[in-house]
Amino acid sequence: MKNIPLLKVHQLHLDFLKDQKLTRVLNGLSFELHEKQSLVLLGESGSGKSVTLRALLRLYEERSTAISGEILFEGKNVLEFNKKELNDYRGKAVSMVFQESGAAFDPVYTIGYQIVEMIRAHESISYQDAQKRALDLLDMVKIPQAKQRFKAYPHELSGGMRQRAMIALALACHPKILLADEPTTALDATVQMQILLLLKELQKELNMALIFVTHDIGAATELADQIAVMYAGKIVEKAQLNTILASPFHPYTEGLFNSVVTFESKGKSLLAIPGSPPHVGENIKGCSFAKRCSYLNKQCELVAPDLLLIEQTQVACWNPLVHD
Amino acid sequence: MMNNQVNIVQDPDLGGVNQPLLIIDKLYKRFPIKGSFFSKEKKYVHALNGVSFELKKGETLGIVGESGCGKSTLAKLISGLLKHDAGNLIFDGQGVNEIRGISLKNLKKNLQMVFQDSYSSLNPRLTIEEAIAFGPTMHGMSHEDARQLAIQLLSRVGLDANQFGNRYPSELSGGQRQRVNIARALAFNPKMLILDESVAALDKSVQAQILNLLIELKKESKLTFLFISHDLQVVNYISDRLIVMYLGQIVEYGPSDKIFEKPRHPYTKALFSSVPEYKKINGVEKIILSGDPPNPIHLPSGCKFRTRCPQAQEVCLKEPVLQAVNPHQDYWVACHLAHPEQGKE
Amino acid sequence: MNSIGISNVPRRKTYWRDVLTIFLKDRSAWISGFILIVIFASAIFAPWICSYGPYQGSMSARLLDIGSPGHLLGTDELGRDMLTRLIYGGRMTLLIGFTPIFLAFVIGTTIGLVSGFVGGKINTFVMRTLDIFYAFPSVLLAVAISGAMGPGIMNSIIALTVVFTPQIVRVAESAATQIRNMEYIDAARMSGASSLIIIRVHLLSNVVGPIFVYATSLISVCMILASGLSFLGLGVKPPEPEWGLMLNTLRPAIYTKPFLSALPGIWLFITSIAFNLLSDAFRQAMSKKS
Repeated sequence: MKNIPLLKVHQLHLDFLKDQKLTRVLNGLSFELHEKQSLVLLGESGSGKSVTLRALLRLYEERSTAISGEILFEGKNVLEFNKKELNDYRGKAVSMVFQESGAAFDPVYTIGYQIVEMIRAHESISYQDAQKRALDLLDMVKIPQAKQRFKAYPHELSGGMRQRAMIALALACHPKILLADEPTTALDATVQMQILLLLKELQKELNMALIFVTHDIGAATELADQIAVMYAGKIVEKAQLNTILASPFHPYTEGLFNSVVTFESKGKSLLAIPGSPPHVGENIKGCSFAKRCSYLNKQCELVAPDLLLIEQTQVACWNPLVHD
Repeated sequence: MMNNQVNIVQDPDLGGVNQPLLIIDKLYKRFPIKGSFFSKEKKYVHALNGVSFELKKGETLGIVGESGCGKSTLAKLISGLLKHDAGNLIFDGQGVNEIRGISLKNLKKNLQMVFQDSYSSLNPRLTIEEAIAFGPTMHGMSHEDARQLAIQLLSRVGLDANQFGNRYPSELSGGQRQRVNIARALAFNPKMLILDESVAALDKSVQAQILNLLIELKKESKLTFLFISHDLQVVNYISDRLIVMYLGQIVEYGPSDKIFEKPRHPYTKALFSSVPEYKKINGVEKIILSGDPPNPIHLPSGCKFRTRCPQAQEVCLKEPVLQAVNPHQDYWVACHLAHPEQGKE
Repeated sequence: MNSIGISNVPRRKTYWRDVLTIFLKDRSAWISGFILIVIFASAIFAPWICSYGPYQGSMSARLLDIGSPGHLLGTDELGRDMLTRLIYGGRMTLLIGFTPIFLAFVIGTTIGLVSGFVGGKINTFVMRTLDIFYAFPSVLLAVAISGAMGPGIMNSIIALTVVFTPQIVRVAESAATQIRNMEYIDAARMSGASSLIIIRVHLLSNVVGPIFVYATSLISVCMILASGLSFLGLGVKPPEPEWGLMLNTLRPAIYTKPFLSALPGIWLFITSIAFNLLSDAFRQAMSKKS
């Protein structure tokens, strides 16, 4: 691992402007990503995980979004990129796989054409060369009969195939970081596993870094080197996979792991976290998890905790859990 | 102020105490596809291809399968929203085919459903109280009594009636809406509840709350549940018995503990393998299927799973039948390889 | 701690109240509303406002210019005061413009909702039958029916109702078809409610908004059609004041007194735009609410 992280997000705040009101969606988000590392952003709805990915590619409406902080890709601040730098960055340096493969493809062009278009947008090569690369990509994502599928329209492919095609599209220019926004949530169980394993394989083969957003802990365990748990717009805990599974420090992480139904839960009452996550943009004084936390004390309701380093884990909590 | 417990009186058991509450016998359902005006061949989506099972009073039967397996169609047939093409549906001793009018209305009282999409299952123009009170008024309850019942039920599912009663569905979170849906179903004092992917769209922490609530309710009122889901861990948690479906047929059917411990059908094994936690518990071989679930328009001949089955053999060209794997006759599998004697006939 | 008892909080009809609030903030709504109120009020209180009668003519004071003493907007070809005629004419035009839409709204919504909800062959039959009417351009259809029935106010109203009902049925049916597949309709079916109750309780309130907006946007069209019918001699008969009819009778004076002759048309134009703006503001309020 090199000393300079490939991606460094520092104190990212993001607000959406709606009906003349600012809604805070990201609340001081900070993390680092190194080369070839896979980071899973684990969180529930409203945690801001999808917004984070979009922010990394600046895929938000500039006019109605207030953003502050830093997103440093290889040391350069993405938020300060001009138009040309941004176009070089998107798709080529950092690329994304979306959740709804049906929505991400243009329905009136074949998938082959769209992959070729992606390649030629970033590199000046001939159509034939780009086409050959596209076919290689379709093979790489294990789409059978790539030559025929090249000429297929998005609606002619099944969900699993389309998702593979979208991965091929995202990898077209060999990005250094691949972002994946819950790419398997909309798929059937058996297909989900195929796609997860494919992503894992491709990451190793292409030496990419991966940021994978999900709410499914099972999927996270398949893919992650590191897990970052998000709650109410910020990261509340970040550690290596094994560390966080064995000894979570944040009460929310513990609550999340405990409330998930597993094969071992049978016969026992589930330990649900009381209450519900805060509404997006709700202004909370102090720690955003305080009102649902069973370990809270006075300080939690007054001041929001920063990320501290405890052993190998980063955790934002005034009373982190104690492990022997 | 009198503290009246308002309730719809539950119908007495027509079928007798020991009779299963629901008997499904060789149910078929297909949907025609609108072809072009000139095409002579009519195409169908074969959603259900001969499904038979029983639901005992007080048990929770889980149904798992992927898209195209027919579980949603099954829910719609049982709940009466669709009519089946062939087969028998017997609820509480009465064939659903034969009853009409008032009896049919009573049947609907005894059988309620909680849908998956908590948002689209609530009328956006009705308040929560109105939505829950609507059903009982259809069965003769006065408006005042129905409102009171709604308030009772709201607190039963953990929502403060004073705070939520006058709200509209768009003002509630997904978990809260699903509680309302459960309250609405309970307002009929039903004997059976169909839960069609009712917790699928919820966050995991909220899911846990709703599951706890369901189990509590079940213990209190001795309800019978039909729990349809694609989430294996949730189904394992809540069900007593389990049905695994593939392309409109049952491939494995038995006590959920036994099935999870040692699945016998290759599809069941593959399905379980797709859950990352599963392989850690059991030493069951991991099967990763290739390709996608086939569409139900062109069904493969013989065993419907043979086109994706890693263990498919020549005998699989002949259609397998559900056969018991143990002398107790409570665990069935439809696979030649689980019953070597089948194919040799 | 909740007390189990009858909740005392009254039902809030927040949806429509919210829509109204947004609607009232819209400036165009105020302007168009004001114009319409003036026109409606003047039409109702015409006998008390106008200093002349609408039939009171004078052969010597024919076609006086706008701004002539005693006649603010001049006189028409028979010496009758224009302003008075315009105000009285509003009564007719509004009646024949408004009533058909109201009738079409009620009839059309009923047919459309029932047909759309029931679906299947009945729906196909109803919609294809209405397509026959829909296939005719509205002007032609109005003229044809009116011509067959003869001139007169009642016949015009009937003809225009027939013209506009299919359009509203179409909108209602499409809305009903969309909502029919929603899960809360399934839930209502499972509660044992009859189809009629489901349509009334669950379908109607969700559907009436868009249909209402569409219907109000048709008012101006209907008014112009009504005037058109009168212009062609198929609606109101002379000497009744009605804007379309007035345009017809003033036609010979177009080269000598162009502005005077155009006055009824300008009145029609302003009223139409006012209705359109109002309808649009309502639609915007509804879309902002959701």
